[in-house]
Amino acid sequence: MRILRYVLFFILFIFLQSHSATYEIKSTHSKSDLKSSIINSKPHDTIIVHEGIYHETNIEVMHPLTIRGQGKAVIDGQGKDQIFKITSDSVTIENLTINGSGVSYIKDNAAILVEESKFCTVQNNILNDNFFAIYLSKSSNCIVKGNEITGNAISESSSGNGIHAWYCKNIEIYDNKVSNHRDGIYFEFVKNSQIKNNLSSGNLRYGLHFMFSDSCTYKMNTFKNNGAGVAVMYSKYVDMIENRFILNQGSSSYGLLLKEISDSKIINNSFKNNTVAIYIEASNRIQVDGNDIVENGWAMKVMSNSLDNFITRNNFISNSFQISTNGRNNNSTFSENYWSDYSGYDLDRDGYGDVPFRPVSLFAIEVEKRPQSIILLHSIFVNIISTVEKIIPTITPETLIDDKPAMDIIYDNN
Amino acid sequence: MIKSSFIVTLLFAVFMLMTACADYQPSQINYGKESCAYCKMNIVEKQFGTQLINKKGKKYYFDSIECLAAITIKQEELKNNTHSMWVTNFEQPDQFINIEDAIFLYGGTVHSPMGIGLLAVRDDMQAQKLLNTFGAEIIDWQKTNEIVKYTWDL
Repeated sequence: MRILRYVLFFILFIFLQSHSATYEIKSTHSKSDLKSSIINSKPHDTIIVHEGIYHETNIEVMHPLTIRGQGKAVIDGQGKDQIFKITSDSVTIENLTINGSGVSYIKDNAAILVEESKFCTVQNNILNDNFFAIYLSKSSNCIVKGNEITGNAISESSSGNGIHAWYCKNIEIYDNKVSNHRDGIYFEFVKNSQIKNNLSSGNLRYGLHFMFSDSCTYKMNTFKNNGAGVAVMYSKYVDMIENRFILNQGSSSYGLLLKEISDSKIINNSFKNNTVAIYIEASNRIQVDGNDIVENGWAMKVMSNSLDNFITRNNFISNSFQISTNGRNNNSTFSENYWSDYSGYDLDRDGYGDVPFRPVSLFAIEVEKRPQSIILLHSIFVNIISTVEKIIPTITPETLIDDKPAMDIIYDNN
Repeated sequence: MIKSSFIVTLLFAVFMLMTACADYQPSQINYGKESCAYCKMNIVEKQFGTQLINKKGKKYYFDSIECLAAITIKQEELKNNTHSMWVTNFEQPDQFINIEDAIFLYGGTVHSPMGIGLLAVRDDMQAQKLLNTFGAEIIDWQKTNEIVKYTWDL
């Protein structure tokens, strides 16, 4: 019985084999070879593109297919039009180098456009100097993995995004490196998707940008040196876990910018050397737990239109301003955080200070109202009024206190 | 006598200075550096930048038509103190058009920075041309406000 099953499998295997052919494309062939091979191939065939430079644009893939580069296979759009357009399910594009999709204000030209498709894979490609690099439109269950994406948006703003997803579901974005685009990774109207272990650096606007995208997770990514690290806007149920936000600096720059989001988690991330590490505006029920917020201009700006946020067990170390806000109302809870400028005592030895900590200094409120007054930072006058305010609070929000400040750095983070 | 004429001259100079200060013309947005006064996003897309000038001549920059409309809906005080509002001509991104003169296109495949799909042009010819490219519809400023208000639930 068992042997029969093996034989059956073997026959099935042979059957499948005989039905998927492999086409080989070499650069010595005529120009339209790649396109004609795609048209002539049958569903689920494999096309191997050999080493060489191919000047091609508008390559449309309309049935399931694997297109694989061998050696350094370069497809060059020479700054005109889009390059690959995938309109079928189950297409794989891998190991290719794709350069130069054209800049356009009318059309979002991409190196690889996946349109209304399912189960597509884009992996291990190198994408240089494209307007948009990978563009997923109304697609689902696609994987974008291990690509190296470099744009040319150094100063000009006429650049598209590295990985762009619009009206998508169940997308997985792993192990990519994205730099010098407008936004490194951009999600608009995306649901149930994962972004994991990517490096997004040197992008003009954001490392990662969420708009109207619910129930997504991003984990273990690094956002370095972008216009701002990550912006999460108008979204719900977004989990942000174990990411690193580094060196996102500039007058309106943030490590993480939250605007009108709710029911989300920010857990075990590390924020270092940002102008503002976390900015929260009009956002509700956000859990900020176990993060390391170190050496930033502002650790957190929590605008007073935010409700019911929980900021617990974070390390706030050596920030110029710990917390800043714009009103006397506070509807968020701060508890069990470590503050490097806490100077209280712990007589009962339970690990938490006996005196509550007020993380908003008078000067932080002043700077929020009149940004120019930043010039007085660390002056003796400011130090005196801040000390007075600490003893007799009059201007800083009365309820914005950490009632249980940790005495020592919390080490179980990350 | 000399003294009073001096004061008059001085007053005149100050008056000139004051009138010179109130500048109600739109100025170029510093793309990539400036951030939107409504949504805080960096303003980078040149075809979509907008601005509002209040009665004192202060300029507020926005990354999109959506945000310009939204701030006038949300902030009554700013709306009442508005001198003029300006939108970028999609066809000529260095040119600002007063919203009174602009033609707005909505929907289809217009990808504006805030996702509703709004752009502005100056004249009918430009509008007709883009109408076909994007499959959009022509609307006025009033309708634009209604769409933003409805879509964002403001």
